[in-house]
Amino acid sequence: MQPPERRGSREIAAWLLLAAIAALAWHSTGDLRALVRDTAATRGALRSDADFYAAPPVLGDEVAILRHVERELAPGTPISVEGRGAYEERRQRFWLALLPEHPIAADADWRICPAPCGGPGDTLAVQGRDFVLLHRSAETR
Amino acid sequence: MRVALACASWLALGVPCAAVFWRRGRRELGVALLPFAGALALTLPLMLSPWLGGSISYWPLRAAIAALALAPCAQALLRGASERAQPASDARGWALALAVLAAASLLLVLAGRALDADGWPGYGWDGLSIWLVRTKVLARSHELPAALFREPQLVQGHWDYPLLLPALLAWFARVGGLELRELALALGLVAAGFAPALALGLRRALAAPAAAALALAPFAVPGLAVTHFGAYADPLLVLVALAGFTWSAAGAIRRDGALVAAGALALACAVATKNEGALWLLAGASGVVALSRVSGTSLASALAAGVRCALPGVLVFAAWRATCARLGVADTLPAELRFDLLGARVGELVAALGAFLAEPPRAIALGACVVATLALAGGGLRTRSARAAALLAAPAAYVAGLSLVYLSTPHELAWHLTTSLPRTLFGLAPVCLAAALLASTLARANEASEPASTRSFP
Repeated sequence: MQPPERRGSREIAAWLLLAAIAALAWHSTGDLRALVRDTAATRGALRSDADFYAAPPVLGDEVAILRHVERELAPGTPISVEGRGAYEERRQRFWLALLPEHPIAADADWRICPAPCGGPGDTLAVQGRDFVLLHRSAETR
Repeated sequence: MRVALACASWLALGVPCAAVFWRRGRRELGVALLPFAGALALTLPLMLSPWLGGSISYWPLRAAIAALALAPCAQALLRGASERAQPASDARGWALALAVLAAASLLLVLAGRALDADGWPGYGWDGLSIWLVRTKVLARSHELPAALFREPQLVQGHWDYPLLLPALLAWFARVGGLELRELALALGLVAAGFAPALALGLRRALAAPAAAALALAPFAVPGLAVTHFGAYADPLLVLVALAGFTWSAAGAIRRDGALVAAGALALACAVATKNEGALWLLAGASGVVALSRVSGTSLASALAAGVRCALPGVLVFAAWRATCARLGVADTLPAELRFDLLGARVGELVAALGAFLAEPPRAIALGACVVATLALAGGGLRTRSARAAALLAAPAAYVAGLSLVYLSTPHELAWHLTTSLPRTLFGLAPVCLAAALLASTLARANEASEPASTRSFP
């Protein structure tokens, strides 16, 4: 059993530690508060997930391809999404926009890829800024 | 209203498991386990669905069945567990500490609400490429789409990553009616659920302000909170792994089998959150063995405590790896590890780790925790060193395991370190703080305990 004065000083130290950690947490979450402030300018701009997919960090100017897919392709139609290097980020954003309604499959008849791409006989369905949606011809399948 | 229902039903799924602890007179552990057991109940049916026909229809019903099945598992973990924990008496201190945590939780929820208010929610790369992709898939599919797991084009989607965070977010999407852009609110609620629970579980092990300080400590790590709202899983991993380590370590020190069992369930959540959770599981279990030994327990009993601590997590890990193998996941964990490069990469890794840990805020925080652990461990030089080593065994084991992963990475090491090291080490300082806070508990427990020959641990 500890003497009461030692217990008391331990308790004070523990409360001081809590105060210090709380202050440090407030300081460390400055970037979160900055994010809340910075994104305040976009408030009201994204009223649905459709707006969210059209936001620059997701599909931005490529959203025309998504709109075409939603309008013209039956749910469940697989789509191949290609692109490396500078196109890697946008390629991965297409996953978010397309799945699960449109499975991603390398051997799909429909193909989203950075232009210029495609083979002989492929049909251009729609063009985004950097990417295009193609329908593969029998030759390139 | 629907969001409140999603939140309440998540916690309610933890009730069967919590009731086992309540019946043992451990109400604080029962309440603390609600978010953990609820999250496991939501995740397990999804993880195991490929073995049950692949359907994830009737998810609430399946989750309820999983919740009921967790109760006998908790019961088995508690079988034979010793109960030497005294009820906490500092009701006023706890009321004040929990009020501080409630205020912090409210701020987290408000941050989530502010971010989801029809503006850009601040999601980061991994959130948009990995965690939210499968959240959307789980929220809108009627079966786990096996083809996606083995699709070569989706390799960078890391479909071998476990499902706890996507399961929680998908629950808020399905039951709470949140759309993808609104999940920042769900992220705020998830953090607000786990953080106070961590402190509450320590009600009989630590003083109220110390437990509250530990629960807040992850948010004092620069970048953790904003990364959490970026929909990364690393911050959630820190919250659950910290609870798992602290509860099981405190349980080992106090010979409190119920606390070790609660820690084991939290560590199972860590395994279900990210692959690094397996490292935290190994680290936590080795910490329990080391602390049991240094508390004078026999080697056999210490090992038994370690096994008890690791068992739920090992089962979750094995189940998920088996599921990945069944689904033919394109990028399974050990597939492309480069053990041939271990030696050649050591210098680069040591330099990167050294530079990272030597940054003044980190060096000061870690140094202070290590010095405090040594100072508070009590006893003579040898005893003090042995106790400090046992307390710091878990973070040391985690860093060692993580180093091995980096050394054998199939990616370029410099790229891998740059993109992930700050996140994978988010938990280091909070776990070292836990070690420092438990040091005096260890010293007092050892001084108060009877001679070593009469001790036993469940």
